[in-house]
Amino acid sequence: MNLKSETMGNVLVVRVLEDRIDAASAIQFKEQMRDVIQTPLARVLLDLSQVMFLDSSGLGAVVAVMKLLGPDRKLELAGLTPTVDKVFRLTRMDGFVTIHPQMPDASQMRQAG
Amino acid sequence: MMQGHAIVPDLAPAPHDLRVEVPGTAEAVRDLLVWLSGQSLITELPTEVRGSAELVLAEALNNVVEHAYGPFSGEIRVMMTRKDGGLRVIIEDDGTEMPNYDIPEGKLHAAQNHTDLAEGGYGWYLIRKLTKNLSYRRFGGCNRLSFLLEPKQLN
Repeated sequence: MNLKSETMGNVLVVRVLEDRIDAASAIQFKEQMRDVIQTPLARVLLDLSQVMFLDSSGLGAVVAVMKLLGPDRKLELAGLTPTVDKVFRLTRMDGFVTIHPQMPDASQMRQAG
Repeated sequence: MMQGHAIVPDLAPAPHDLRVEVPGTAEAVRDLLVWLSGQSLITELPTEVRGSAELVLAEALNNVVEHAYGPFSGEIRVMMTRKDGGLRVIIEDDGTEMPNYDIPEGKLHAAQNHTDLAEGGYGWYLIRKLTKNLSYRRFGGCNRLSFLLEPKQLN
């Protein structure tokens, strides 16, 4: 599982450089995210623009990350491809996680911070 | 063709347009899904149905790996037939039967905030949401799940 993280203002941006978050890779995703989010920023923005496929195991792993962040930190998603977007909307996750239609640019993140 | 796991399509024309048999492991299922996504049976579907088809197949096949087989090994047989612009899919395995010989309800659990959300149990919800004529039969030590993926946008 290839994840790339960087800090932009008060946002921890994590890019998932994989085609799929599925049953074969969900646990690995969750474990690596557990390490990545040790950087104690209030907002974590997950860039899923490379991810073409996410199944219920992948969804479960994203939910697990939201829960690991606890009540005071927030997971946000950006760059959802159509099939991935469908999974989040069908399961009504869009009520619990902010889904940005596009990847916010760096200046927006600094302002927001 | 693919690497890693042998997928041997059965070229007999009737009664299915495609019949494949793969080992019941997460890696073999992933390889099968990636291979299927390049097959005409899938690529000729309208874009949104193609996405649903890949998702439903992933959910149904991973359920077999995780629940019907669990720690045991076995084969999964997948049969697909074109039907009215969509696909009829049959998935068979020789693993443990479904609880109460029935398809799980697959309901979303109510959550007040993100810390209450369930980390699992979304698979059957998605399968039920995206398929028609979902049916399950147990016979002779074999599970058979079948469903229809319709050509129109389902959601």
